[in-house]
Amino acid sequence: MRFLRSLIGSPLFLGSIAVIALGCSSMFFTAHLKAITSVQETALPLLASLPSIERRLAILHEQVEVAELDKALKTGSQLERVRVSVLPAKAEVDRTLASFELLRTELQKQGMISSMSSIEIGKENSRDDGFVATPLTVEFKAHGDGVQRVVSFVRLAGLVTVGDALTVSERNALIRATEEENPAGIVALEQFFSADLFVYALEPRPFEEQLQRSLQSEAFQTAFRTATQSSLLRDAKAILQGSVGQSMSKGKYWPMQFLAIDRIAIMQGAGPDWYKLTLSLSLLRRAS
Amino acid sequence: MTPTPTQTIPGLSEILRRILLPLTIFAVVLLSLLLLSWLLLLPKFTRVELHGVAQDFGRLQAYSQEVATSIRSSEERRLALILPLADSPYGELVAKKMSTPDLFAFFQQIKNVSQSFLPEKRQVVILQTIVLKGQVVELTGDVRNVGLQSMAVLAQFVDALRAMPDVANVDYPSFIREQDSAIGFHSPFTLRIHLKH
Repeated sequence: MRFLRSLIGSPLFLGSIAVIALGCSSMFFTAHLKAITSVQETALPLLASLPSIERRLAILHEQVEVAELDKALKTGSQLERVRVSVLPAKAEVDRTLASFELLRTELQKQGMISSMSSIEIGKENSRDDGFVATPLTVEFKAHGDGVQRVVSFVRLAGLVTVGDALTVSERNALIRATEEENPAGIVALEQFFSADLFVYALEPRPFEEQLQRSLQSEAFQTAFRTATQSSLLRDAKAILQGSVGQSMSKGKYWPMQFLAIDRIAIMQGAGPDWYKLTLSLSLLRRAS
Repeated sequence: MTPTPTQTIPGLSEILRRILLPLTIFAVVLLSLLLLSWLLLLPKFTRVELHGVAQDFGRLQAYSQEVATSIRSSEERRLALILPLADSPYGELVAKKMSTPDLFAFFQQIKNVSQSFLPEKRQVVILQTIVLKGQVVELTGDVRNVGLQSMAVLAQFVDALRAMPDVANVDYPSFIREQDSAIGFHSPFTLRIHLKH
Protein backbone atom coordinates (compact mmCIF):
# COMPACT_ATOMS: atom_id res chain seq x y z
CA MET A 1 0.00 0.00 0.00
CA ARG A 2 2.79 2.29 0.95
CA PHE A 3 4.61 1.33 -2.24
CA LEU A 4 1.51 2.14 -4.34
CA ARG A 5 1.07 5.45 -2.57
CA SER A 6 4.70 6.27 -3.18
CA LEU A 7 4.26 5.42 -6.87
CA ILE A 8 1.17 7.65 -7.19
CA GLY A 9 3.06 10.32 -5.39
CA SER A 10 5.98 10.09 -7.82
CA PRO A 11 5.68 12.72 -10.60
CA LEU A 12 8.13 10.76 -12.75
CA PHE A 13 5.98 7.64 -12.66
CA LEU A 14 2.74 9.54 -13.28
CA GLY A 15 4.33 11.53 -16.10
CA SER A 16 5.58 8.38 -17.79
CA ILE A 17 2.17 6.68 -17.56
CA ALA A 18 0.44 9.82 -18.90
CA VAL A 19 2.86 10.15 -21.86
CA ILE A 20 2.61 6.46 -22.78
CA ALA A 21 -1.19 6.45 -22.49
CA LEU A 22 -1.55 9.64 -24.54
CA GLY A 23 0.86 8.32 -27.18
CA CYS A 24 -1.06 5.06 -27.49
CA SER A 25 -4.36 6.97 -27.54
CA SER A 26 -3.20 9.13 -30.43
CA MET A 27 -2.12 5.99 -32.32
CA PHE A 28 -5.50 4.36 -31.73
CA PHE A 29 -7.29 7.54 -32.71
CA THR A 30 -5.37 7.69 -36.02
CA ALA A 31 -6.12 4.00 -36.61
CA HIS A 32 -9.83 4.72 -36.05
CA LEU A 33 -9.74 7.54 -38.57
CA LYS A 34 -7.92 5.36 -41.10
CA ALA A 35 -10.38 2.51 -40.68
CA ILE A 36 -13.38 4.80 -41.16
CA THR A 37 -11.81 6.54 -44.17
CA SER A 38 -10.90 3.24 -45.84
CA VAL A 39 -14.47 2.02 -45.42
CA GLN A 40 -15.78 5.22 -46.98
CA GLU A 41 -13.24 5.40 -49.79
CA THR A 42 -12.63 1.74 -50.63
CA ALA A 43 -15.14 -0.64 -49.12
CA LEU A 44 -18.30 1.18 -50.15
CA PRO A 45 -17.28 1.68 -53.83
CA LEU A 46 -16.04 -1.93 -53.88
CA LEU A 47 -19.35 -3.11 -52.49
CA ALA A 48 -21.23 -1.03 -55.06
CA SER A 49 -19.23 -2.55 -57.94
CA LEU A 50 -19.55 -6.15 -56.72
CA PRO A 51 -23.00 -6.94 -58.15
CA SER A 52 -21.91 -6.04 -61.70
CA ILE A 53 -18.66 -8.01 -61.33
CA GLU A 54 -20.58 -11.02 -59.99
CA ARG A 55 -23.08 -10.73 -62.84
CA ARG A 56 -20.18 -10.72 -65.33
CA LEU A 57 -18.70 -13.81 -63.69
CA ALA A 58 -22.05 -15.60 -63.95
CA ILE A 59 -22.27 -14.66 -67.65
CA LEU A 60 -18.73 -15.90 -68.25
CA HIS A 61 -19.53 -19.21 -66.52
CA GLU A 62 -22.60 -19.54 -68.71
CA GLN A 63 -20.61 -18.76 -71.86
CA VAL A 64 -17.90 -21.26 -70.96
CA GLU A 65 -20.51 -23.98 -70.37
CA VAL A 66 -22.25 -23.26 -73.66
CA ALA A 67 -18.98 -23.09 -75.59
CA GLU A 68 -17.78 -26.35 -74.04
CA LEU A 69 -20.92 -28.11 -75.22
CA ASP A 70 -20.32 -26.78 -78.73
CA LYS A 71 -16.62 -27.52 -78.82
CA ALA A 72 -16.95 -30.77 -80.81
CA LEU A 73 -13.96 -31.69 -82.97
CA LYS A 74 -13.08 -28.25 -84.30
CA THR A 75 -9.74 -28.05 -82.53
CA GLY A 76 -8.52 -31.23 -84.14
CA SER A 77 -9.49 -30.22 -87.68
CA GLN A 78 -7.89 -26.75 -87.37
CA LEU A 79 -4.73 -28.23 -85.96
CA GLU A 80 -4.58 -30.72 -88.79
CA ARG A 81 -4.83 -27.97 -91.42
CA VAL A 82 -2.06 -26.03 -89.70
CA ARG A 83 0.17 -29.11 -89.60
CA VAL A 84 -0.47 -30.09 -93.20
CA SER A 85 -0.51 -26.76 -95.04
CA VAL A 86 0.44 -23.78 -92.86
CA LEU A 87 3.42 -25.12 -90.96
CA PRO A 88 4.34 -28.30 -92.82
CA ALA A 89 7.35 -30.43 -92.03
CA LYS A 90 8.85 -29.59 -95.43
CA ALA A 91 8.94 -26.10 -96.96
CA GLU A 92 6.83 -25.79 -100.08
CA VAL A 93 8.46 -22.79 -101.73
CA ASP A 94 6.86 -23.54 -105.11
CA ARG A 95 3.35 -23.07 -103.75
CA THR A 96 4.28 -19.71 -102.25
CA LEU A 97 6.00 -18.55 -105.47
CA ALA A 98 2.94 -19.59 -107.45
CA SER A 99 0.67 -17.63 -105.08
CA PHE A 100 2.81 -14.50 -105.54
CA GLU A 101 2.69 -15.02 -109.29
CA LEU A 102 -1.11 -15.13 -109.17
CA LEU A 103 -1.16 -11.93 -107.13
CA ARG A 104 1.23 -10.20 -109.55
CA THR A 105 -0.88 -11.13 -112.58
CA GLU A 106 -4.09 -9.92 -110.95
CA LEU A 107 -2.68 -6.64 -109.59
CA GLN A 108 -0.94 -5.87 -112.87
CA LYS A 109 -4.22 -6.43 -114.67
CA GLN A 110 -5.89 -3.98 -112.29
CA GLY A 111 -3.08 -1.44 -112.78
CA MET A 112 -2.12 -1.55 -109.12
CA ILE A 113 1.46 -2.68 -109.67
CA SER A 114 3.78 -2.05 -112.59
CA SER A 115 6.30 -4.79 -111.82
CA MET A 116 7.37 -7.47 -109.39
CA SER A 117 10.99 -8.54 -109.06
CA SER A 118 12.07 -12.14 -109.03
CA ILE A 119 11.81 -13.59 -105.54
CA GLU A 120 15.18 -14.11 -103.90
CA ILE A 121 15.29 -17.22 -101.78
CA GLY A 122 17.83 -17.44 -98.97
CA LYS A 123 19.24 -20.34 -97.02
CA GLU A 124 17.03 -22.14 -94.55
CA ASN A 125 17.78 -21.30 -90.93
CA SER A 126 16.44 -22.30 -87.52
CA ARG A 127 14.68 -19.63 -85.49
CA ASP A 128 14.58 -19.11 -81.73
CA ASP A 129 10.88 -20.03 -81.62
CA GLY A 130 11.60 -23.53 -82.92
CA PHE A 131 10.45 -23.00 -86.51
CA VAL A 132 12.65 -23.26 -89.59
CA ALA A 133 12.63 -20.20 -91.87
CA THR A 134 13.38 -19.78 -95.55
CA PRO A 135 14.11 -16.09 -96.19
CA LEU A 136 12.35 -14.56 -99.19
CA THR A 137 12.91 -11.08 -100.58
CA VAL A 138 10.73 -9.49 -103.23
CA GLU A 139 10.24 -6.00 -104.63
CA PHE A 140 7.19 -4.39 -106.17
CA LYS A 141 6.71 -1.13 -108.01
CA ALA A 142 3.18 -0.40 -106.92
CA HIS A 143 0.47 2.21 -106.61
CA GLY A 144 -0.64 3.01 -103.05
CA ASP A 145 -3.60 0.63 -103.37
CA GLY A 146 -1.27 -2.05 -104.72
CA VAL A 147 1.05 -1.63 -101.71
CA GLN A 148 -1.91 -2.20 -99.40
CA ARG A 149 -3.02 -5.27 -101.34
CA VAL A 150 0.43 -6.87 -101.40
CA VAL A 151 1.00 -6.29 -97.68
CA SER A 152 -2.47 -7.65 -96.86
CA PHE A 153 -1.79 -10.71 -99.02
CA VAL A 154 1.37 -11.39 -97.03
CA ARG A 155 -0.50 -10.88 -93.76
CA LEU A 156 -3.14 -13.38 -94.90
CA ALA A 157 -0.52 -16.03 -95.72
CA GLY A 158 -0.78 -18.68 -93.02
CA LEU A 159 -4.11 -17.62 -91.52
CA VAL A 160 -6.75 -20.33 -91.39
CA THR A 161 -9.88 -19.02 -89.71
CA VAL A 162 -11.83 -15.76 -89.58
CA GLY A 163 -10.78 -15.36 -85.95
CA ASP A 164 -7.11 -15.44 -87.01
CA ALA A 165 -7.64 -12.38 -89.24
CA LEU A 166 -8.94 -10.20 -86.39
CA THR A 167 -6.78 -8.18 -84.03
CA VAL A 168 -7.04 -8.74 -80.28
CA SER A 169 -9.04 -5.53 -79.84
CA GLU A 170 -11.46 -6.41 -82.64
CA ARG A 171 -12.05 -9.86 -81.14
CA ASN A 172 -12.47 -8.49 -77.63
CA ALA A 173 -14.99 -5.90 -78.80
CA LEU A 174 -17.12 -8.65 -80.35
CA ILE A 175 -16.85 -10.93 -77.32
CA ARG A 176 -17.77 -8.13 -74.88
CA ALA A 177 -20.74 -7.21 -77.03
CA THR A 178 -22.10 -10.77 -76.76
CA GLU A 179 -21.72 -10.63 -72.98
CA GLU A 180 -23.82 -7.51 -72.84
CA GLU A 181 -26.53 -8.69 -75.19
CA ASN A 182 -26.91 -12.44 -75.06
CA PRO A 183 -24.33 -14.68 -73.36
CA ALA A 184 -25.54 -17.71 -75.33
CA GLY A 185 -24.62 -15.82 -78.51
CA ILE A 186 -21.05 -16.88 -77.83
CA VAL A 187 -21.80 -20.08 -79.76
CA ALA A 188 -22.69 -18.13 -82.91
CA LEU A 189 -19.59 -15.99 -82.42
CA GLU A 190 -17.42 -19.07 -81.91
CA GLN A 191 -18.79 -20.51 -85.15
CA PHE A 192 -18.00 -17.24 -86.93
CA PHE A 193 -14.45 -17.16 -85.55
CA SER A 194 -13.80 -20.77 -86.52
CA ALA A 195 -15.19 -20.34 -90.06
CA ASP A 196 -12.70 -21.05 -92.83
CA LEU A 197 -11.19 -17.71 -93.84
CA PHE A 198 -11.02 -18.59 -97.53
CA VAL A 199 -14.64 -19.80 -97.70
CA TYR A 200 -15.76 -16.72 -95.76
CA ALA A 201 -13.84 -14.34 -98.05
CA LEU A 202 -15.41 -15.87 -101.17
CA GLU A 203 -18.97 -15.68 -99.84
CA PRO A 204 -19.17 -13.75 -96.56
CA ARG A 205 -22.91 -13.11 -96.49
CA PRO A 206 -24.17 -16.45 -95.02
CA PHE A 207 -21.62 -16.27 -92.16
CA GLU A 208 -22.37 -12.63 -91.41
CA GLU A 209 -26.13 -13.01 -91.61
CA GLN A 210 -26.11 -16.02 -89.32
CA LEU A 211 -24.18 -14.10 -86.69
CA GLN A 212 -26.25 -10.95 -87.08
CA ARG A 213 -29.45 -12.97 -86.58
CA SER A 214 -28.16 -14.17 -83.20
CA LEU A 215 -26.85 -10.82 -82.00
CA GLN A 216 -28.69 -7.66 -82.92
CA SER A 217 -27.77 -4.99 -80.36
CA GLU A 218 -26.39 -1.68 -81.55
CA ALA A 219 -23.12 -2.28 -79.66
CA PHE A 220 -22.63 -5.62 -81.36
CA GLN A 221 -23.51 -4.28 -84.81
CA THR A 222 -20.96 -1.47 -84.41
CA ALA A 223 -18.23 -3.88 -83.30
CA PHE A 224 -19.18 -6.23 -86.12
CA ARG A 225 -19.04 -3.49 -88.77
CA THR A 226 -15.59 -2.46 -87.53
CA ALA A 227 -14.39 -6.06 -87.58
CA THR A 228 -15.66 -6.87 -91.05
CA GLN A 229 -15.32 -3.58 -92.88
CA SER A 230 -12.10 -2.04 -91.63
CA SER A 231 -9.91 -4.99 -90.77
CA LEU A 232 -7.89 -7.60 -92.61
CA LEU A 233 -11.20 -9.36 -93.35
CA ARG A 234 -12.09 -6.54 -95.74
CA ASP A 235 -8.77 -6.98 -97.56
CA ALA A 236 -9.24 -10.77 -97.59
CA LYS A 237 -12.57 -10.31 -99.37
CA ALA A 238 -11.08 -7.80 -101.83
CA ILE A 239 -8.16 -10.08 -102.70
CA LEU A 240 -9.75 -13.52 -102.67
CA GLN A 241 -13.10 -12.70 -104.28
CA GLY A 242 -11.33 -11.91 -107.55
CA SER A 243 -9.51 -14.21 -109.91
CA VAL A 244 -6.74 -14.65 -107.31
CA GLY A 245 -9.18 -16.55 -105.12
CA GLN A 246 -10.42 -18.71 -107.99
CA SER A 247 -6.90 -19.57 -109.12
CA MET A 248 -5.80 -20.32 -105.56
CA SER A 249 -8.77 -22.58 -105.13
CA LYS A 250 -8.03 -24.38 -108.41
CA GLY A 251 -4.33 -24.75 -107.65
CA LYS A 252 -5.07 -25.72 -104.01
CA TYR A 253 -2.73 -23.00 -102.78
CA TRP A 254 -4.94 -22.23 -99.76
CA PRO A 255 -4.22 -22.34 -96.85
CA MET A 256 -0.89 -20.75 -97.67
CA GLN A 257 2.28 -21.64 -95.85
CA PHE A 258 2.99 -19.18 -93.03
CA LEU A 259 4.88 -16.04 -94.05
CA ALA A 260 6.40 -14.02 -91.20
CA ILE A 261 7.12 -10.37 -91.95
CA ASP A 262 10.74 -9.53 -91.10
CA ARG A 263 11.07 -6.16 -92.77
CA ILE A 264 8.92 -3.88 -94.92
CA ALA A 265 10.44 -0.94 -96.80
CA ILE A 266 8.41 1.58 -98.76
CA MET A 267 10.29 4.04 -100.96
CA GLN A 268 8.73 6.97 -102.75
CA GLY A 269 8.45 6.07 -106.44
CA ALA A 270 8.53 8.08 -109.64
CA GLY A 271 4.83 9.05 -109.73
CA PRO A 272 2.89 10.94 -107.07
CA ASP A 273 1.25 7.86 -105.52
CA TRP A 274 3.68 5.19 -106.69
CA TYR A 275 6.12 3.38 -104.45
CA LYS A 276 8.82 0.77 -104.40
CA LEU A 277 7.85 -1.88 -101.87
CA THR A 278 10.49 -4.26 -100.58
CA LEU A 279 9.41 -7.19 -98.45
CA SER A 280 11.77 -9.39 -96.45
CA LEU A 281 9.82 -12.42 -95.37
CA SER A 282 10.35 -15.78 -93.70
CA LEU A 283 8.56 -18.80 -95.05
CA LEU A 284 8.09 -20.95 -91.98
CA ARG A 285 7.88 -24.66 -91.49
CA ARG A 286 7.94 -26.73 -88.34
CA ALA A 287 11.17 -28.46 -87.42
CA SER A 288 10.82 -32.12 -88.39
CA MET B 1 -2.02 42.09 17.82
CA THR B 2 -3.33 39.02 16.22
CA PRO B 3 -0.74 36.78 14.57
CA THR B 4 -1.06 36.46 10.79
CA PRO B 5 -1.45 32.87 9.55
CA THR B 6 1.57 31.57 7.66
CA GLN B 7 0.85 30.25 4.12
CA THR B 8 2.98 27.28 3.08
CA ILE B 9 3.91 27.45 -0.61
CA PRO B 10 3.74 23.92 -2.21
CA GLY B 11 6.91 22.54 -3.75
CA LEU B 12 7.38 21.84 -7.46
CA SER B 13 6.91 18.10 -7.03
CA GLU B 14 3.62 18.68 -5.23
CA ILE B 15 2.38 20.93 -8.05
CA LEU B 16 3.40 18.30 -10.63
CA ARG B 17 1.79 15.53 -8.63
CA ARG B 18 -1.47 17.43 -8.40
CA ILE B 19 -1.51 18.16 -12.14
CA LEU B 20 -0.21 14.77 -13.26
CA LEU B 21 -2.63 12.65 -11.29
CA PRO B 22 -5.81 13.80 -13.11
CA LEU B 23 -3.91 13.96 -16.41
CA THR B 24 -2.77 10.36 -16.02
CA ILE B 25 -6.26 9.22 -15.04
CA PHE B 26 -7.65 11.02 -18.09
CA ALA B 27 -5.05 9.48 -20.41
CA VAL B 28 -5.61 5.96 -19.07
CA VAL B 29 -9.41 6.28 -19.34
CA LEU B 30 -9.12 7.68 -22.88
CA LEU B 31 -6.84 4.83 -23.90
CA SER B 32 -9.19 2.27 -22.36
CA LEU B 33 -12.17 3.75 -24.17
CA LEU B 34 -10.33 3.80 -27.50
CA LEU B 35 -9.20 0.23 -26.97
CA LEU B 36 -12.76 -0.85 -26.23
CA SER B 37 -13.97 1.05 -29.27
CA TRP B 38 -11.31 -0.63 -31.43
CA LEU B 39 -12.25 -4.07 -30.21
CA LEU B 40 -16.01 -3.75 -29.94
CA LEU B 41 -17.43 -0.69 -31.67
CA LEU B 42 -15.30 -0.17 -34.77
CA PRO B 43 -15.73 -3.70 -36.21
CA LYS B 44 -19.51 -3.22 -35.87
CA PHE B 45 -19.54 0.12 -37.66
CA THR B 46 -17.06 -0.77 -40.39
CA ARG B 47 -18.72 -4.04 -41.39
CA VAL B 48 -20.47 -4.23 -44.71
CA GLU B 49 -23.26 -6.55 -45.68
CA LEU B 50 -22.31 -9.05 -48.36
CA HIS B 51 -24.98 -11.47 -49.52
CA GLY B 52 -26.97 -10.74 -46.37
CA VAL B 53 -24.06 -11.47 -44.05
CA ALA B 54 -22.05 -8.77 -42.30
CA GLN B 55 -18.41 -9.06 -43.32
CA ASP B 56 -15.36 -7.08 -42.35
CA PHE B 57 -13.41 -5.07 -44.89
CA GLY B 58 -10.59 -7.61 -45.20
CA ARG B 59 -13.05 -10.39 -46.08
CA LEU B 60 -14.73 -8.12 -48.63
CA GLN B 61 -11.38 -7.39 -50.27
CA ALA B 62 -10.48 -11.08 -50.35
CA TYR B 63 -13.85 -11.95 -51.87
CA SER B 64 -13.48 -9.25 -54.51
CA GLN B 65 -10.00 -10.60 -55.36
CA GLU B 66 -11.48 -14.10 -55.64
CA VAL B 67 -14.15 -12.88 -58.07
CA ALA B 68 -11.54 -10.99 -60.14
CA THR B 69 -9.35 -14.11 -60.34
CA SER B 70 -12.35 -16.24 -61.37
CA ILE B 71 -13.21 -13.70 -64.08
CA ARG B 72 -9.67 -13.82 -65.46
CA SER B 73 -9.56 -17.62 -65.53
CA SER B 74 -13.05 -17.81 -67.08
CA GLU B 75 -12.02 -15.32 -69.77
CA GLU B 76 -8.95 -17.42 -70.54
CA ARG B 77 -11.03 -20.60 -70.66
CA ARG B 78 -13.59 -18.93 -72.92
CA LEU B 79 -10.88 -17.68 -75.28
CA ALA B 80 -9.35 -21.15 -75.37
CA LEU B 81 -12.73 -22.54 -76.38
CA ILE B 82 -13.46 -19.86 -78.98
CA LEU B 83 -9.94 -19.82 -80.44
CA PRO B 84 -8.51 -23.22 -79.57
CA LEU B 85 -5.13 -22.58 -81.22
CA ALA B 86 -4.57 -19.16 -79.62
CA ASP B 87 -2.15 -20.56 -77.04
CA SER B 88 -0.28 -22.81 -79.46
CA PRO B 89 3.00 -21.82 -81.19
CA TYR B 90 0.90 -21.22 -84.32
CA GLY B 91 -1.38 -18.90 -82.33
CA GLU B 92 1.65 -16.94 -81.17
CA LEU B 93 2.86 -16.54 -84.76
CA VAL B 94 -0.58 -15.29 -85.79
CA ALA B 95 -0.79 -12.88 -82.83
CA LYS B 96 2.64 -11.46 -83.70
CA LYS B 97 1.70 -11.01 -87.33
CA MET B 98 -1.62 -9.39 -86.49
CA SER B 99 0.10 -6.92 -84.18
CA THR B 100 2.37 -5.72 -87.00
CA PRO B 101 1.48 -2.08 -87.59
CA ASP B 102 0.03 -1.00 -90.93
CA LEU B 103 3.17 0.67 -92.30
CA PHE B 104 1.59 2.18 -95.40
CA ALA B 105 -1.22 3.83 -93.40
CA PHE B 106 1.39 5.13 -90.95
CA PHE B 107 3.47 6.49 -93.85
CA GLN B 108 0.39 8.36 -95.12
CA GLN B 109 -0.14 9.83 -91.64
CA ILE B 110 3.48 10.99 -91.55
CA LYS B 111 3.02 12.53 -95.00
CA ASN B 112 0.03 14.49 -93.70
CA VAL B 113 2.05 15.65 -90.70
CA SER B 114 4.97 16.69 -92.94
CA GLN B 115 2.61 18.82 -95.02
CA SER B 116 0.68 20.37 -92.17
CA PHE B 117 3.04 20.95 -89.26
CA LEU B 118 4.20 24.23 -90.80
CA PRO B 119 1.07 25.60 -92.49
CA GLU B 120 2.91 28.49 -94.13
CA LYS B 121 5.64 26.27 -95.59
CA ARG B 122 4.75 23.29 -97.72
CA GLN B 123 7.07 20.88 -99.54
CA VAL B 124 9.84 21.42 -97.03
CA VAL B 125 10.01 17.85 -95.69
CA ILE B 126 10.65 15.36 -98.46
CA LEU B 127 10.03 11.76 -97.35
CA GLN B 128 12.05 9.14 -99.16
CA THR B 129 11.92 5.76 -97.44
CA ILE B 130 10.09 4.19 -94.53
CA VAL B 131 11.23 0.86 -93.13
CA LEU B 132 9.51 -1.27 -90.49
CA LYS B 133 11.52 -3.75 -88.50
CA GLY B 134 9.83 -5.13 -85.41
CA GLN B 135 8.12 -2.22 -83.69
CA VAL B 136 10.67 0.34 -84.88
CA VAL B 137 10.17 2.46 -87.97
CA GLU B 138 13.12 4.06 -89.75
CA LEU B 139 12.21 7.13 -91.76
CA THR B 140 14.60 8.71 -94.25
CA GLY B 141 14.08 12.08 -95.87
CA ASP B 142 15.32 15.60 -96.37
CA VAL B 143 14.36 19.10 -95.20
CA ARG B 144 14.86 21.72 -97.90
CA ASN B 145 13.55 25.02 -99.33
CA VAL B 146 13.91 26.80 -95.97
CA GLY B 147 17.47 28.08 -96.36
CA LEU B 148 19.51 28.16 -93.17
CA GLN B 149 16.51 27.13 -91.05
CA SER B 150 16.56 23.53 -92.26
CA MET B 151 17.86 22.11 -88.97
CA ALA B 152 15.31 24.08 -86.91
CA VAL B 153 12.53 22.86 -89.20
CA LEU B 154 13.77 19.29 -88.80
CA ALA B 155 13.58 19.66 -85.00
CA GLN B 156 10.00 20.95 -85.32
CA PHE B 157 9.15 18.00 -87.58
CA VAL B 158 10.51 15.57 -84.97
CA ASP B 159 8.32 17.23 -82.31
CA ALA B 160 5.29 16.95 -84.61
CA LEU B 161 6.00 13.23 -85.10
CA ARG B 162 6.30 12.74 -81.34
CA ALA B 163 2.81 14.17 -80.95
CA MET B 164 1.31 11.48 -83.22
CA PRO B 165 -0.99 9.09 -81.32
CA ASP B 166 0.75 5.83 -82.34
CA VAL B 167 4.24 7.11 -81.62
CA ALA B 168 5.93 6.22 -78.33
CA ASN B 169 9.18 8.08 -79.01
CA VAL B 170 11.38 9.45 -81.77
CA ASP B 171 15.14 9.36 -81.36
CA TYR B 172 16.71 12.70 -82.19
CA PRO B 173 18.58 12.40 -85.50
CA SER B 174 22.03 13.82 -86.16
CA PHE B 175 21.33 17.38 -87.22
CA ILE B 176 23.40 18.31 -90.24
CA ARG B 177 23.11 21.00 -92.85
CA GLU B 178 24.54 20.54 -96.30
CA GLN B 179 24.67 22.78 -99.32
CA ASP B 180 23.80 21.59 -102.77
CA SER B 181 24.11 23.62 -105.96
CA ALA B 182 20.64 22.55 -107.11
CA ILE B 183 18.58 22.62 -103.90
CA GLY B 184 20.61 24.98 -101.72
CA PHE B 185 20.82 24.37 -97.97
CA HIS B 186 19.18 21.15 -96.86
CA SER B 187 19.19 18.71 -93.91
CA PRO B 188 19.01 15.02 -94.77
CA PHE B 189 17.75 12.88 -91.88
CA THR B 190 17.16 9.34 -90.71
CA LEU B 191 14.72 9.07 -87.83
CA ARG B 192 14.05 6.05 -85.63
CA ILE B 193 10.42 6.06 -84.55
CA HIS B 194 9.35 3.75 -81.71
CA LEU B 195 5.72 2.75 -81.98
CA LYS B 196 3.35 2.16 -79.11
CA HIS B 197 2.51 -1.52 -78.54
